[in-house]
Amino acid sequence: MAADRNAGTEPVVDMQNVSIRYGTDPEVLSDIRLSLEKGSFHFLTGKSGAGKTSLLSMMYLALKPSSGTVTVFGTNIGFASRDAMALMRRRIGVVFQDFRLLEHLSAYDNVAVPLKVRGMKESEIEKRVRELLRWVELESSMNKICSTLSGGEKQRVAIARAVINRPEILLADEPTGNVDDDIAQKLMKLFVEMNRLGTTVVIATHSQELINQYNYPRIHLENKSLKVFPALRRLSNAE
Amino acid sequence: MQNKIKLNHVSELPLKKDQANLFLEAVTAVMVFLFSIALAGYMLVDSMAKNWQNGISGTLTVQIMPLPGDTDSQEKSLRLNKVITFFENQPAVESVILISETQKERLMSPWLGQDVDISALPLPELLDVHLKQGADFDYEKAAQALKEIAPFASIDNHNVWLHRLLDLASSIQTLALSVLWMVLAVGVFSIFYAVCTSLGIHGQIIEILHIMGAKDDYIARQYARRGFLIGLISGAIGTAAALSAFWWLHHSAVYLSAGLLGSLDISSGGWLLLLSLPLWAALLSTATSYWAVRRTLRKIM
Ligand SMILES: Nc1ncnc2c1ncn2[C@@H]1O[C@H](COP(=O)(O)OP(=O)(O)O)[C@@H](O)[C@H]1O
Ligand SMILES: [Mg+2]
Repeated sequence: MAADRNAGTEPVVDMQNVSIRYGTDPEVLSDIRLSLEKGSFHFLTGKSGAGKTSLLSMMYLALKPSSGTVTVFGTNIGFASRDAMALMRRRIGVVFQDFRLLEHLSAYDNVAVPLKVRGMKESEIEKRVRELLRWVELESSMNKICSTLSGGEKQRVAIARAVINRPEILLADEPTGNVDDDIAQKLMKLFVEMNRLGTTVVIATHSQELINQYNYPRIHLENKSLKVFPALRRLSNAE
Repeated sequence: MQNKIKLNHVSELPLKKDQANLFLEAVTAVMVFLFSIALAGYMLVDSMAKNWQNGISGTLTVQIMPLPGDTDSQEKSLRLNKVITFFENQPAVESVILISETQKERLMSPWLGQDVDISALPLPELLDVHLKQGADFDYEKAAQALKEIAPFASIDNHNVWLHRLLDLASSIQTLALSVLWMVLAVGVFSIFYAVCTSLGIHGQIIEILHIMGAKDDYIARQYARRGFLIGLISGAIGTAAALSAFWWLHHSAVYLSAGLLGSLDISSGGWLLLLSLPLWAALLSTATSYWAVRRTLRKIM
């Protein structure tokens, strides 16, 4: 976990002097630095509008910084070619705040997208997608068009899509925001499990409960800048 | 579980439902129709021109008319020499031969009988002008120049007319060619424009595909696939419409064509080209769609 410190290990994500602004608006984030080691797990907190989604967007390569350098998997995204970016994105899984599913497609087709875009064989895709949909308990609805699914079901589709590629980085934007408690717990278990297998995880959340329950460091955004709070001791969790 | 996967040739972009499809289909069909007509026109005129070209021999005949009260034979031969020199000085001319009295006599005998002394008749002098093989002789210019120095002489009408027709044919062909290019340009532009619009409409889906790791190529292929289908189907419709138009024209012109225009013919290679137009339309539409996506994505996203 975050505690291992192998000298010479390159950070998976590295930001130096990064600022973000949209158009001519004032800066959302200003001159921030952040380094995520491989296999680390962080919560991301901050008030609504603090820039959590913006920060995550840079990590999933949908947003370039207005200034400063962002390095992902050792590549400066300012200089990467479009195709190189596509290859890097395949190593990153994202759960969006608003799911961003392809509403006109079935659950199956949505989960299959990350595999299809890399040109995987149809039979292999089917095996993997079925397996994962079974795991999120959606196998019986897999041919349903997404726009007909409930919020909770959509969320599970979104999560299945995020993890189907066995990503090296998993980013989730308030994933437990609008689901039942037991689903939220199951979700967290999945993230923790993936982290145990080596995936670097960042989860943006408002839930103090979640932060207290799990003993992970926290990235906090406030006043355009970023602070990292180390993991709490196990004490609070064990009671 | 019993659930069967509906086999996955799903394209993530719902291009089949694009508003622009009807526009693209109509434009493609009309463009292919116009292209077929212009191409057929070009080939028809080409075959006519070839016929006319064959009618033009390497010789031309020049008449030198006698002037009223023309008795001074010296003046007469002076005029004759002027015309002969004129032709001999043309770079495209190989030789100029004056048709002799006896030859003329032979030419006239069917009409005048054997015993008429034609030297007493005011017959024109005739020159046989032989052109060099493959030489480029400008009849119009020569006729004009000749008229200035020797208004009493004239170049055989038939050849001049054929050359005027050939000039007309080549103008028509130039026109047909420019129509072909314009149709191509408008077609390509329409596809490009429709693709740009569609990319804008589907911007969110494209962004999601990008985030899922799709390369521009992946998105461009979905557009290329649609481009191929529209090109092929609408191209077939346009070609079919053009063929019916030819058939109709053929029937209304069948009595004319024998007399005036020579054989109206398109070669078998030409027919093959016309019939393969839907395929070419499909290929062009595929390539244009693909290229338009790649270019637009590189510019705006
Ligand atoms: N695409 C955008 N265009 C303009 N402003 C934006 C855009 N995305 C976010 N913002 C602005 O940036 C600020 C940070 O937004 P965001 O990163 O979504 O914060 P959070 O996820 O923490 O709520 C907000 O003030 C928001 O209005
Ligand atoms: Mg947000």
